[in-house]
Amino acid sequence: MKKHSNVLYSILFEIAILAVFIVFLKIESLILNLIFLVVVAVGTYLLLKKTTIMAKLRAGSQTKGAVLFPLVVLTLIVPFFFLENIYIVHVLTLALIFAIAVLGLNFQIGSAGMVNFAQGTLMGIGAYTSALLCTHFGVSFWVGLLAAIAVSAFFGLILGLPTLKTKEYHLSLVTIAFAYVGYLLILNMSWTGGPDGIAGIPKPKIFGFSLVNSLKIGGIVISGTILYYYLVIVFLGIGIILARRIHYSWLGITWNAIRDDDIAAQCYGIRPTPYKLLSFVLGSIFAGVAGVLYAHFVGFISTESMAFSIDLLLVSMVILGGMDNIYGVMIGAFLLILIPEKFRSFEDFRLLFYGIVLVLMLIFRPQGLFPKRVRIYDIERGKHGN
Amino acid sequence: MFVTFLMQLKNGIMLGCQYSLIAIGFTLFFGMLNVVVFCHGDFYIFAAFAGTALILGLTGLFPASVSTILVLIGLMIAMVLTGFLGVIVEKATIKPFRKSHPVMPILSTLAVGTIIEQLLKIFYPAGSNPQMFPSIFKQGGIHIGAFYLQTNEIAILIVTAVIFLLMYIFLKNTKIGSQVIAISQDFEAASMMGIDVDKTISITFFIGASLAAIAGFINGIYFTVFRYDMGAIAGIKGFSASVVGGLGSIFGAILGGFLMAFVETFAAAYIPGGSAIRDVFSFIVVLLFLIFRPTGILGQRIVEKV
Amino acid sequence: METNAIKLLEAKDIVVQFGGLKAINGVNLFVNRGEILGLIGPNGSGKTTFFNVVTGIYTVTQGDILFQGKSISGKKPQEIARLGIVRTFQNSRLWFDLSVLDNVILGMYMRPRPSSLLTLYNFKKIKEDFRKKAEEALAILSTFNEELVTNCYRRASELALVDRRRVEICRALAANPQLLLLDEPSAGMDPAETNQLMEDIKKLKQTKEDIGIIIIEHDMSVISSIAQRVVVFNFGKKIAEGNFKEIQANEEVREAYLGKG
Repeated sequence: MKKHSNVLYSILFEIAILAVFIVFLKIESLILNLIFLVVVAVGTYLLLKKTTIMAKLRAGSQTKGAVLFPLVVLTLIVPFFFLENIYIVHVLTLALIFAIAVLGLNFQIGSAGMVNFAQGTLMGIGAYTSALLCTHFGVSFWVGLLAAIAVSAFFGLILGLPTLKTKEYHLSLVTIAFAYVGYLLILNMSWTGGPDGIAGIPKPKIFGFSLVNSLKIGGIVISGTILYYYLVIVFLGIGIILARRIHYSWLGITWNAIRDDDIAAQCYGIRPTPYKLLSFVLGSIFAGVAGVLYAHFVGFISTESMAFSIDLLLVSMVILGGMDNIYGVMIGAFLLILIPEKFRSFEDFRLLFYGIVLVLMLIFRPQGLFPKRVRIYDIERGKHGN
Repeated sequence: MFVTFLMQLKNGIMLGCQYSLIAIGFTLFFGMLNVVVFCHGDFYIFAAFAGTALILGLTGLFPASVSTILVLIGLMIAMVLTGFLGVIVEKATIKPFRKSHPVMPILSTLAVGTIIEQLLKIFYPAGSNPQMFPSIFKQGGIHIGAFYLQTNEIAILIVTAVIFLLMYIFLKNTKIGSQVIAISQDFEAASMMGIDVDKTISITFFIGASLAAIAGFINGIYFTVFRYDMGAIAGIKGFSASVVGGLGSIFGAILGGFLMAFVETFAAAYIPGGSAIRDVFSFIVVLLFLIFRPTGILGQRIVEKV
Repeated sequence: METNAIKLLEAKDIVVQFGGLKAINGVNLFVNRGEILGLIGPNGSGKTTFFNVVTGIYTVTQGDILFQGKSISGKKPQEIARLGIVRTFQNSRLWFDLSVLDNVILGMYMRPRPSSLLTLYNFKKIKEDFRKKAEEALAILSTFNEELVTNCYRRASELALVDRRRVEICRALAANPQLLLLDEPSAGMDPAETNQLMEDIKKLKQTKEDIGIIIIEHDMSVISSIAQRVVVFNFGKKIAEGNFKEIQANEEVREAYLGKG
């Protein structure tokens, strides 16, 4: 049946992408990496032009769960390709953590149209909250997480308030000022550990089992890192579901209206204020969660992790991936974490790379690699008309 | 006590000269194109690097020659280079966004700023280390009443004052100046009246970036040490100064620049532990203005056309 | 003399001043339920400013505006929209990155919506609500133009000018207005499109008899065809009022448009 063959097509396509992805991660040599990237880029470009293949993929993706289910399965088996090189799983986990933060940032930049340069700072606030509570008061990761959610939401609200009265360029400055003030205050207050930060942040415990340890199943040893990878996947999964539902709810569409023309929005009964505030609060919660996951993963947090370059990096991820496209921004996060990691010897050029990517994207493809998509509804257009 | 106060006052004035010059650039760009050029601060630090390199280079090449002339030539070239950098940045990364959403040039100039700063860090010899601006003034100075002003300080004051005067004359009395004003009032009308908008904008960016260059020299002459990442902070402070004074107003930029400088200097000096978080004070002042008086002290309310 | 119904909209001695400029200088104006009022005048005479003031984007400096007998001056645009006053804009302020369909669906914002909290545990209800509203939006679009239906998923930014205006009117209709303000809907249209527009507005009047419409226009064929009464603005003042024939014959109106001498 045609439908089944389309679905099969999609699944094969996803497996192919996974294969490419894994091969890319495994390549060690610098030159091969570069060649590989170029080949993939060109190949993708050509592929997108092949409308027959794209049509089949699109048809296949219509069937419920056809895309999602295999994708989830594939994501779950990735770590097993890297049992000997755990470091790659480590990097992947970091990328997933940033993907969570970027989903939150997308609410503000992509959906509601407000540029926020303080998402890294909010991550830091979440991270520090949990880190301080766990190291000074011995609470569990989960309590720290809840506290971080509350604190991030609070500061997100604070950040959102002044932006209501200000115009576009002022808004950016407010968030930049907030980012710097947050960074400087945390850097200089003694109880936050100052420039030395906070060390010894404990790994989470799930039903008493600490992620510091490895799990033995059958003959395979699953290290704590891989377990943490799965933990982050769970959070990211929740985040994706939330983000998608928000996008397809009245909240999401109203954000878009405010973004595209807020005067027209007001003339149709929309009050921008609560929506703008909500985008900041929700986005900050995502940032806070990401921050907590980061802190407990690395075990150490300092203001270096919330420097302005991180704020700018997060914004770049959104622009690169595609504003208001949930999967786009996550891919943006992956690309901007993984590619510099693959070219580690060029560490010095990392920030330069980010800057150049951002400028090029803005000039040549501001809608991002994956432009925002139009909402489709379960209706028949043929019914109306002759 | 009084002596320290005078010292701080002087520091504040010197800093104010810098911030004002940077702020004037911001206000010019914003007034004309409604665009915030976030990499403006990086023009400032670029000039410091360029000036240092040129002065050292020239005096190294021609050790016997009169150093004053070489220094002047070095500074002039550095200033011109910075001016051209401004023009290039405008044409490549701001002009494409004239009709786009206002957030685009904000993002692109932030990115360009990062690029400039990283290029300096990577490609200038020992770029990531703090640099020393060459000492170009003789020791010594003069007494004016209770003050003792060194030669370099006098030079800074004179140069800054002259520039303020020149800006005033430029905008009020020259043809190009009036074109700048025309464009800032109504972009469409100005281009329809036959004003070569692109050329005028280029000239404005050249001037703005050159002013930032001079601010960079002032920083080098007075504070001596500079680093590649100072551009971002200086830019943000300069921008904040122009917001406080009122975006679009030159007087506002000067007023804002000195106000910010004084708040910062005196906070650092008199509040315990203040110097560590003096930048915070500047930012808080700006935040207060943005929230309660976004048009600044001298700015005008912009009414949105529906 | 109107003795029975309360006027739908009434502007009493309104003055709108920006700094030193009086954009509207003492205007008295009313619209009845079920009436189509044409509002004409040279550029800059204050017509769009009038719309802006009625919809709450600007506030009157003096005077009062009454909607169904109650004052609305000083109210915010959101409140005024909820009362049933909906407008289109001179330069088609659609939500350009959204689809045609989404634009019209958003027009229904003021209707009861499922609580956003449902997002968390019963998303089906939200999907169903959107589905129903999308159906209705399609119906509105189809009464205007079949092409709008086939193109319902196109981004508003990709539409031609004519279609943008049509979508804007559809969006306004989706909001179920009692008073509809149309700001130069035929601007940029060719004669055939303008004719179609007039037919569409007439059709609209047939289905919604009670709706009051104020239409700003420069195209006199539209005004003569659909406006029952016409008001003429010049320099922020009302200089004439009556049916189209009376306006045409008015000396002062002629001068306003053609200039003195």
